[in-house]
Amino acid sequence: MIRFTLNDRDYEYSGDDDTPLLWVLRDSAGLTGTKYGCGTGQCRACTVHVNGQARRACVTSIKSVTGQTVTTIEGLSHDASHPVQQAWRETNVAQCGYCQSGQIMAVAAMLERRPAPSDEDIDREHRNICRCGTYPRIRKAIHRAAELSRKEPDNE
Amino acid sequence: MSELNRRDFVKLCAITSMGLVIGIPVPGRAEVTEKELHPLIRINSGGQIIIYAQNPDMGQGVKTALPMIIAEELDVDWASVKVEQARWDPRLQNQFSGGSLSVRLNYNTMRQAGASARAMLLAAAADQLNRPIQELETQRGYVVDPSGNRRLSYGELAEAAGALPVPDAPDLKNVKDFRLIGTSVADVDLDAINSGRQHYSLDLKLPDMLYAVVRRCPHGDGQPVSFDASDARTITGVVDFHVLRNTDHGGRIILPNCPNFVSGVAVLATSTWAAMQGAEKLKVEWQMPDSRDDSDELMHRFEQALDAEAEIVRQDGDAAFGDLENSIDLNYRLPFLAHMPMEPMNCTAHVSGNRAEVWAPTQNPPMAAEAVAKVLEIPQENITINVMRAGGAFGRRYYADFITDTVLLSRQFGRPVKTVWSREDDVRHGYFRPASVQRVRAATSAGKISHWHQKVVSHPRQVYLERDGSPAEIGNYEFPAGFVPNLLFDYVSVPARVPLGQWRGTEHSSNVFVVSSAIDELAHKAGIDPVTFWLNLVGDEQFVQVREDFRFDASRLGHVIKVAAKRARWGTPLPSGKGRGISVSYNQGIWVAEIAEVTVADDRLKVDRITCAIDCGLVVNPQGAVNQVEGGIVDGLAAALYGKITVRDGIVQESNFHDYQFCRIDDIPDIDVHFVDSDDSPRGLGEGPLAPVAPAVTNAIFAATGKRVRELPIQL
Ligand code: FES
Ligand code: FES
Repeated sequence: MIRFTLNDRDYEYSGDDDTPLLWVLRDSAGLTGTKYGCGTGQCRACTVHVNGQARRACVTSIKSVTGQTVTTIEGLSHDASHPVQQAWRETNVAQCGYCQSGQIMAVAAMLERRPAPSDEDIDREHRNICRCGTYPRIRKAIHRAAELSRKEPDNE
Repeated sequence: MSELNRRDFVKLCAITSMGLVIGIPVPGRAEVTEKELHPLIRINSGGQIIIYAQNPDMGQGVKTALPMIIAEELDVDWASVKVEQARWDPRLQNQFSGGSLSVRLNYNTMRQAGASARAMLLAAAADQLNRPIQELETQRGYVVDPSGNRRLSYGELAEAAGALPVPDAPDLKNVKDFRLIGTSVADVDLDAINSGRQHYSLDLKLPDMLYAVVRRCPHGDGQPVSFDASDARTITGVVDFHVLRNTDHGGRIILPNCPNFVSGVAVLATSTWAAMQGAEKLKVEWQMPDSRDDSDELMHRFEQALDAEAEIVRQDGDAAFGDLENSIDLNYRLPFLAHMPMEPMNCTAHVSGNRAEVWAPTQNPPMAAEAVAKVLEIPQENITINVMRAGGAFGRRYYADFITDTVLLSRQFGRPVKTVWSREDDVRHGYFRPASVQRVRAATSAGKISHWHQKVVSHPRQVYLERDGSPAEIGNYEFPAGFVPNLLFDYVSVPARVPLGQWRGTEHSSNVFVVSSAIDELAHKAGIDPVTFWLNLVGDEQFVQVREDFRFDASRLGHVIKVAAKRARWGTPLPSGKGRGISVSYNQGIWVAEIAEVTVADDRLKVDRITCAIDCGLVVNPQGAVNQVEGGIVDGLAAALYGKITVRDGIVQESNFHDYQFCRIDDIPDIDVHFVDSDDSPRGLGEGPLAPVAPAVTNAIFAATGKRVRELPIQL
């Protein structure tokens, strides 16, 4: 039995230890906002937070999160009010939308570390793939989210 | 309606079969009733307007744009509209998304849908108010009687209006009175997407559902002979196995233009992960076909076939030229390209008895229904196709190969089945953009192109997909036909079995590279600035009769070239190592000019800026349109930088994003998109902006370095 905190609740998983966190979230916990794009750590559509840090759920085994705190897009905010989500809305980032929970989770973690990223920081650190090519608006929305976060220092 | 109830409603739609949802629960209120005024329009007694998006949305925004057109004519506030995705409905025309046609083909139909419902509401009000219909008007969800200061809401009128006949030719609004079309509207699913609550079909879970992963034959034409499941059975959650042979179900191509599933062995399990692991652990003995293509060898055969006898596609004057000055004779090479939509292929089906219900991210619901009917041998009226928002598609989801195996599995096991493709399955079992070798021999005289001979060699998609008609991957209407007095387009077909399909722009994506590259070479040969050379070629006449049934508005092409040149500051000096290149295209009714600005330093390419001027007629939703164009440009850039599928021994070698790369954010230039004002009817934007990217970039590389790139992907 593997126990961890999932979006502020205790969660128990009794299946195979080596199952990737991604499939536990999607198939067992019913949290389908975390997406499967490649399964090999390339695309980052599956980005979640483990103890506040961005992690690729497809290459994170469930046993490695024992006792840790996992946050998915569903737990980032209850009403899409996180500054990154607000910025994503204002900027109309999404096209098909499939990669966007991963994008949002990756950016939310990046802004925790780096509250005002430069374009070079973004180029280096934001490595999620968007197959629809929403990158110009992702860049804009990251800057906007940084601005919104500075205005709301308490927003988690 | 609250978000929660909205979701409940969606869920309800997702799990009921066929039956129309009549009552919607609204907390704390009596049941509201809902009335259909048109297959795409329902109005409930509470005044909520439900508009169904006719065509599938895969990120191109038609789930927003098509209902906007209906809402415009219906005369309702956008805020009062709830948009739902229409299921496959044989009453509807053109219910597919492909060829950039959703908006173009359906603009008038959508206007008429909205206008007929409005006319029915007016007629019902005339009856209830006892007033002549021509003295009534509509105002955002109400029918108003200006004389008596009375008004009735659409909600109050819906029941009566729905009972009236649908008028054939309702009055349409004057385009200059549009209030909604032409304004920027957020994607209807935006909030659901940003909160992770948007349901894609990969997210579906039905009661008692099994997960399937199919171990497919590495060669699309092969068959499983036997399999050993002893290792696979040890995986917890693996339930069963089933051999799927397409030869038992209509063959490799099941309908013209519609591939069937690739044969293999399905692993059924209680979770995706168990099914994936089970499929990996299966040992399968395959019977491989004799013909096993190799893409390098195929390119070589294409090259040799440049001298073979060709099918003439178009001939004007005499394109053969002797030793004219400023002539070119060049070969271009274009690779096979994959689609790789972000959401891998998947499908969920529930077949019971002779009825089937399918949930799929399909671009082509009517074809899905036809294919399901064929493999299950049941009538189409027993089939429900629920169209799910697709995580990208790019042409890949036009086909039904990912649906036909799923319905067979569901029938076999008598339970709902979700088939999930791994990314590797998705890459290896694609239907690729045809590779080609093309040769251009051309010459200029007095600053204009006098001769143009373009020969295309490929293995033809038309033949692979068993479609009728000419296999030529070049059309007799393509640019520069009509603009060059001596012109020959011809085509040589080299048979092969690499799976082919449509891609974003398909042959257009190849041909524009060749045309815009060769024109740039001609301009430089003639010592003329490329923009000037293009404008000379386009000429001063407004219209050019390209074909009997196709009059080309050359002035619109000239205009986008001028606008792009101005916005890109064409002609202003750049430091050394930087250059600009132009390319121009016309496709599916839209005119595009793109200018790339690049830096080449230490043999490394950086695309700094792409300026795009585009004339696509009226723009329905400017914000969505900009997204579409930016996305097309990024896709074009990714293909130019990285796109190439390699086949060895009939087997695709690439498998995932590490060896079939896509752009990441640091590859992305500044993108400037400018729509030329137009009130001509709107056209689709999915494909047009993509093709010009590669030649704009390679022409810019030439300007920066003097080096010509005549093969994609770009290698410096
Ligand atoms: S699905 Fe995890 S990185 Fe792609
Ligand atoms: S929005 Fe479609 S993949 Fe990013």
